[in-house]
Amino acid sequence: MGHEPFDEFYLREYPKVVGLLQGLLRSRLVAEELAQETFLVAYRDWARVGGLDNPRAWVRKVALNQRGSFLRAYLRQQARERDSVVQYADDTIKLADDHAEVWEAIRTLPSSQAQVIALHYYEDYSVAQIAAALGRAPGTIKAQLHQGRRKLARRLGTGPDRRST
Amino acid sequence: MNFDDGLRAADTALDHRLYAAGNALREASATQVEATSALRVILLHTDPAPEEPEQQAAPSPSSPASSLLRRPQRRLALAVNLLLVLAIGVGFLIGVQRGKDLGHLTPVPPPSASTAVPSTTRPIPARTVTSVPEQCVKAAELADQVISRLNRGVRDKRLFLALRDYTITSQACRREASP
Repeated sequence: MGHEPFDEFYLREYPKVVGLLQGLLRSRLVAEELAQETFLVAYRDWARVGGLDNPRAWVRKVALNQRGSFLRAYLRQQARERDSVVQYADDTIKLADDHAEVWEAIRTLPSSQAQVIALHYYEDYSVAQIAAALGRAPGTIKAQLHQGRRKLARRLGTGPDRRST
Repeated sequence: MNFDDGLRAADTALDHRLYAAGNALREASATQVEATSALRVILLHTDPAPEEPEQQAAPSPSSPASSLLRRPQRRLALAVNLLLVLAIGVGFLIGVQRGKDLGHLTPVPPPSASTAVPSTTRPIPARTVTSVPEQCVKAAELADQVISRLNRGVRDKRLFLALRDYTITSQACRREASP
């Protein structure tokens, strides 16, 4: 059975993956570079990746897994270039202040919790889908979702009003 | 309102806020992220693993245009790579030459008494310490970055900036290396 052409998949999924990574990394440039690297891997092996049950989850998994090592390499490069590279003024996807504040708070979470929160609220993934995408147990995902939400509630000031107890 | 009610209300408010932020980012990325040019870069500069052998015999409708576009781009990348390699070579040779010149200037120690004694040990060759100007090392690093960007098909402002920095640094390297 033939699978979806790469360009159709790419045009649909690339902006979403950039959005997901930008939510977790803040820098749009870094998000785009990492997304490009991820889709490059997919393109080179599209005969296999395109035939998977869920290529959409596959690119997210690769992007999130590569994130750590890519970010370290990128930051080293940036440190070398810091005297010469012009800072881009619009290095973010523009959001209303309220939403930007939420993503800022998500970025302060431990990486595993931030990933789970982003996949749940940005991608609308269920616990089972997140578990499959990240290769973790559903129980772990539930715990990380719960912990992440609790921390976000405190940071965003939406925790329960304890005076009313 | 008891604590549990407050907790549920807070949960709902948080959920609402998180979903709203997720939707906002998804919509913003759909409108603000330009995928077409990025796709072009991938398709132009990457050879995918062949899916089936007969694919080459029956190319897709877009492949003639792609190969027409691909050839000059590759030639340009090759030319720039060769120039960079040449520049690095020149910088290295200048550095080596300079090291040799410094080696000539070092005084030769007077022969000691032990040299008169026939010995079976091999003579230790004089060690030449080659010093490469810092700017040349930096130029080589920048050249690596430019090559890496070209190979990955990154042809935006970052390539321009890296090329500009390389040009400035390589000129500084030549100035420093010339006697």
